[in-house]
Amino acid sequence: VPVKGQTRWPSWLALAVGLLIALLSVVGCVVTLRVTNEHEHELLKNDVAGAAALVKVTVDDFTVPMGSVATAATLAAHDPKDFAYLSFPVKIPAGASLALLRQDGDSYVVTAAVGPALRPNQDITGGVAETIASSAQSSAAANRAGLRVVPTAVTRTRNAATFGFAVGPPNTPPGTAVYEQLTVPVRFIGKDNPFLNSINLALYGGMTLDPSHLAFANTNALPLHGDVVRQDIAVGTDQWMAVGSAKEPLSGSLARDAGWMILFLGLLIALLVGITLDVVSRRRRYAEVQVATRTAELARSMSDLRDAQTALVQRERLAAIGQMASVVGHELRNPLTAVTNALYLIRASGDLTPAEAPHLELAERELGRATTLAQDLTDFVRPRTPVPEPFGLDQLLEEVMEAAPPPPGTLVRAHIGHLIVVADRVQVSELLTNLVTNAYQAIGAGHVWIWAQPLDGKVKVAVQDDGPGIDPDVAAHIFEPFVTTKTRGTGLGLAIVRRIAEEHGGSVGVEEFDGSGARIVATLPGVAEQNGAVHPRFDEATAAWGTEDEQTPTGAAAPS
Amino acid sequence: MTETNGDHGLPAVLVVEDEEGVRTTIAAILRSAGYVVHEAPDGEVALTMLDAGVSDVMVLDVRMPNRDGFSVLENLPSPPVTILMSAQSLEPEAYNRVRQKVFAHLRKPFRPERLIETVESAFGGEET
Repeated sequence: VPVKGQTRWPSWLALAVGLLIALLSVVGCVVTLRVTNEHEHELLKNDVAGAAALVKVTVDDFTVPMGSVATAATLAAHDPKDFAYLSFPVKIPAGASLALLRQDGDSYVVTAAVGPALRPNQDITGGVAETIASSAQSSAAANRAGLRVVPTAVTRTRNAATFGFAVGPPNTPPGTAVYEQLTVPVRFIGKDNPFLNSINLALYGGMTLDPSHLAFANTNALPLHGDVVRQDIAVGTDQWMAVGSAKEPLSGSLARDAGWMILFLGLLIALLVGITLDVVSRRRRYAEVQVATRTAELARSMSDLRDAQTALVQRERLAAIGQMASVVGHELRNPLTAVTNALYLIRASGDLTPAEAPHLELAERELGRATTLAQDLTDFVRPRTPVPEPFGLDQLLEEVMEAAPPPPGTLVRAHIGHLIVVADRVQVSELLTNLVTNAYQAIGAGHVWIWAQPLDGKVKVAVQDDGPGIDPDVAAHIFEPFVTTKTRGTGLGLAIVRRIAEEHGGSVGVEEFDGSGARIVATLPGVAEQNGAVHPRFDEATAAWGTEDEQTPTGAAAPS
Repeated sequence: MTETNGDHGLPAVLVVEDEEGVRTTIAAILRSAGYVVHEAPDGEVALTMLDAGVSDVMVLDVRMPNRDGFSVLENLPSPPVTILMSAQSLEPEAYNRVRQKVFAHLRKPFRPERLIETVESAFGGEET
């Protein structure tokens, strides 16, 4: 069920918090990467500086530092995989040869060599080096290749091969002199006849030739990793350069990946936190909307319930009134019959004293009232289905006026015309009787006007008096049972009028008009066959009953 | 032909009514009008008295203990001329069953003159 207040978009809070965490993770990532890179750069710089220092010392002193124990140790101290290449040119004294040895158990194998046996700029990649290497499996073999080969490595580590260079004149017999030359090479080589040669030696693999640099490369070093460090080296009048780069990150993989991990985790947390916040916020909004909806429904239900209760109470009240009226009305009838009979017998006996006669008259009069009351009470609740028949309203009114003549001092004028009403004749008779009786009782003495006119296929009957009128507050309830403004009367007459009118599909009401008095109207189903004015004028009244006490009040103008 | 009570040669009326005040005053009014009046306090007694053939006209209340007015009429194949009295309006279904046997219906309270007129015409109706 779609609920008002829900949106497809995440809440601002979730977005803000998620973005903040993401931003922090990016910053963390950048900082960490930077720190790691700086660390790597430092490491690399140290290595290159070490190599450069070595080269510088060596060349300045005219030594061959690559063959020194220190060099081998320095290089061996690094994991070969960590050190990509070191590139620098080397001056090799005239007549001298340079070889690269690899320790293999107790023997040393020439893996590369350069010297008089090799031409300058000769590509010794592959074949030559391989030839030398394969033929110089021992010191003797090295000598045959024209190299003075002496094991020089004194440092051995468990995890790394130790490399050493041996330098010496061709055919120099093996011996300690060589070793001394290595340690004090300047005395051995001399400065007078140097030649400059450039050669690339691969420490751990293939060789490449570069005309101006000696490069140590490792096939495993390619591709090189990130940073490249260069350092210029002034050697005499020459400018040399040491180049270093790491084959792989020098730091551990955790440190290397820390930045990216921070970024990834940060984004993940940002997403999770954002989603969680959004879900919570959506739930809260949903709950708020639900609460509001339910509250409104509850209020509506309460209101409906109150209305229903009021209606029920009203219905129950009327039902109870009706039941009580019925019981009282019926139970009164037997005693009223007995009293009526008894009074009749007293009067029939004919021997009343003059003092007794008025009392009997009083008893008879009051008995008449009680009888009317009982009649009203039972009429009010008697369930009757109207039996409609067409009849002339004027004829019926004459009968009603005969049965309920106006009291002394009251004049009734009527203008009905010949209107045909289709209704239950007995009930309409009751209706008219109650309307005129109500008017009599309202005014005491005065004028009552009765007229009828067709209205939208029905017949509207109006009874108007020039009495005190009806208070607007009372007018709303005047058709309810037992509501009366009079000191006499049961308050049932107009309730009966309403019931009869409504059972005929009509209605009743109090109509306002200019002037004093009250006008009560009722509509009944009818067929108009009027032979008179639609707007009656009562100076031409069709009928009049009763007598006037005094002159017609000027305020009681003829109704229109 | 005016049926008469054998003893007095006068027209006889049976008043069947459980309310004593109503019964005795009706009886008194009818006696004053010159009728011989018998009284029954309920339907059972009325049936017994009618078995003895004491009345030509019956003034019969509807609601009574020990057999109501409708039941009395249903138990009499040829009842006397009957004037029904009731405080309540008549229940249509029950009334329709005995309608043929009812001469007139008086709603309580009624004017004594009306009672006398109705009883008179009941006897008159018998004559025609």
